[in-house]
Amino acid sequence: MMAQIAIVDDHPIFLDGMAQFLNSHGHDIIFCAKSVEEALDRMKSGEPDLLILDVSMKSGGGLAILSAIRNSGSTVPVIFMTVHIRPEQTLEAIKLGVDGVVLKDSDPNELLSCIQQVMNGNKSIAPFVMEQALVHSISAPASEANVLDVLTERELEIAGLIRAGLRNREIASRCGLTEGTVKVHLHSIFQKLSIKSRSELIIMMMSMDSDMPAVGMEH
Amino acid sequence: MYHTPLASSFLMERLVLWLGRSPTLGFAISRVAFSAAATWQINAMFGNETDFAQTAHLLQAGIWTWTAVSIAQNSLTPPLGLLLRPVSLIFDLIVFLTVIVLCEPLQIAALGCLFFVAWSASDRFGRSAIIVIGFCLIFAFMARGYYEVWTPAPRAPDIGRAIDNLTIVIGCLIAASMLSMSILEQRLISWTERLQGVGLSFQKSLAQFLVEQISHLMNSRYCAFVWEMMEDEVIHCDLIDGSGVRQVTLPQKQIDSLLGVQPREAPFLYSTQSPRMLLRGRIGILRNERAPEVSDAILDVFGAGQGASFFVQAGELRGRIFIGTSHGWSPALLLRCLRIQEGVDLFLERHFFFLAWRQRTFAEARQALSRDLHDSVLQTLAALRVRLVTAIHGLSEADVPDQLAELKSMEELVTSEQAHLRRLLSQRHGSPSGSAVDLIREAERCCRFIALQWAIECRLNPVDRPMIVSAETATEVEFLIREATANAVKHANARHITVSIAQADDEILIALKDNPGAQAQVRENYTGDFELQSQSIMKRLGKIGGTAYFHNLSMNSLISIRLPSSLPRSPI
Repeated sequence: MMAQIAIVDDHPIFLDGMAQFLNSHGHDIIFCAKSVEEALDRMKSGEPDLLILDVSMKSGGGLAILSAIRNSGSTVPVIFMTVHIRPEQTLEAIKLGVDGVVLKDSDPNELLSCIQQVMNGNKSIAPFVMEQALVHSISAPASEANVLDVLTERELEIAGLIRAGLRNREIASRCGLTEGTVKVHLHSIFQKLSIKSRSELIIMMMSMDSDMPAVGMEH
Repeated sequence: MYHTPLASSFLMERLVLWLGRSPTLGFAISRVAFSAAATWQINAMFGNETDFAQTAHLLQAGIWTWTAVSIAQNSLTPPLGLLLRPVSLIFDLIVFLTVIVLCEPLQIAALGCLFFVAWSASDRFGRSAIIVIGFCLIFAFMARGYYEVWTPAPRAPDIGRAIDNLTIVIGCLIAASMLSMSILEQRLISWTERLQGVGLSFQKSLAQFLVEQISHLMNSRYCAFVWEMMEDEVIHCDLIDGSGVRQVTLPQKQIDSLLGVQPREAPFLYSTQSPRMLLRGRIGILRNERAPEVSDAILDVFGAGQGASFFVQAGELRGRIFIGTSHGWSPALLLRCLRIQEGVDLFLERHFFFLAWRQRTFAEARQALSRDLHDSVLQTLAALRVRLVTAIHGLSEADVPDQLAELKSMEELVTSEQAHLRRLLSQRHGSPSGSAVDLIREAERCCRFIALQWAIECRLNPVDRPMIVSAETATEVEFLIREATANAVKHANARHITVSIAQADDEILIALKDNPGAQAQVRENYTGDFELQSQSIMKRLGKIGGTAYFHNLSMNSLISIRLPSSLPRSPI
């Protein structure tokens, strides 16, 4: 089934190559856009049969376009074609109603079969991407935030006070403990979290707060 | 002329130090002043009465003996010094309270001296001692009404003036001592604050910076930091003394003595003349413990004299600081050591926090850069592949088999590189660190890629069984094979490369042989073995603890590489 396709990608060499490839396989490229704004602008003048979007672009990338067109009530089929998509982005895209996901480094013929599937009204998401999203959806809640679940309430309290910059003596007086007991708790926290210093503990807790990936802390 | 302000400034500095750090000097001067006043007062009371002449002499001798003994006992070392000190303080208290009750002309001077008694008692027994002395003083004032104060004849005006002058001297000493205490306290606070402000901004090593700072604060003869990192078995010793800052190597016996002090965390005072050290117990009472091996080690390493030591622990660093001071066995020094210890601990925690944060930021930046680079390369490769597939599709019906074959070969090359990059990215972001892979399979794939990339023959010598290593090790091996092959092709024009891989003990051995093929030329000279000149390979091997050699054989060349099976853990 031949389709009228619009491609949005900020990588010009890839954009041209993809347009040529799809043209050579009988599809009609109605427009190529290099940014989110340009794509949304071009969409106003007429919808294609199929949209191929890159995920990693400025101004929100493919997810922003997908969200905008779905909010406007459009049901145009959308395929994400990307180098890399994070599991949470995949889940978000599925929620927004993406029809297909293809990795750019896969065989170009996979894109053709994905287009075919999507044009037939089916979904076609690359197995590797789907697997990552599934693993993420199963394991995500137990990842970083729950690292601290191994700590007792008292240890959590002490860890919080250490993050606030308090010394052992100050922690002891605030918790009504002796300095020695605080040290014992601290030792237990270090062992449970496999860390070696207060600095590591503070950084670990700060990275959880700021939702940053914890580099060098394999938990 | 220029030396006068310097000299006076130096003198002031010393005076502040001596008066402020402990009550010893102030108390000694006050005692002398009090004894002189008491002597004049006794003369005034009994001078005209011959019957009491002997009593007066006895009293005067007793007062001066008491003064001399009290001053001298400060220089005694534990355990004698430690035992005599409370006795002396109780005796002082009784004497001064008695004077307050019985001798009105000397009561202000005695009150002044009681200030030093209270300070000394507070150093020795803690702050509760001041409360006890306060109660005793109240009782003494109440008792004044029950006894007839001994004021026989009116005082001679000149003796009265002299006693008043000495009382003023004692008052001035109290004021100067309090001022000096306040100056020293402020200095300690500002020193601690400055230390916290340093963060990572110092040029020397951490240990040398610390000993310099502490030595400067304490005006010490020497300051040494004996330390270790928990995962590192090496013990370091950084020392500053009259000759400057340097690292000292210590014999194991001395290390054991210096670091094996128990209890570990309590600061202690030491003297090389005594086999005992002075420290505070859990409830704050001073006690002494025999530790002759510590004294001997200190004498051997730092020389004779007194000093203080405290424990330092932050993160993985732990050690002990030794400060050579000219203090006596002053309990105040122990308190000061505790304050310095807190400041140093805080500084080290902040330092390690900044260090970890900086490393983390760098690692994140490196990862982001690496991710961007990989993304960019993957984008370009994907674009190339799409264009190649389009070109192949376009030419598929034309009769150009050579061009088609070349394009397909290029597509295969791009596909292989894409797969390689994808694998690297998956390893970094997805799969758990240390996941196992078959090295032989990876090496075979790598050889196929190299053959396509350089249009040469590159094959792996067959290996019967799989060789399971971590994904990181496999990546390192692949990098080394790629680099070594690139060097062989570019610099030695190699066309037929045979790769052999073997695992022995905890090492992986890789050999790359350039097989010259049918037109082999016998080389005239055997030129021997050399360490490989490739900087990229040697740098990489240097980081993981491997070696690489180039062997110039008669018919061909051989590169042999050795690396550990388990790579060292990355610091980040």
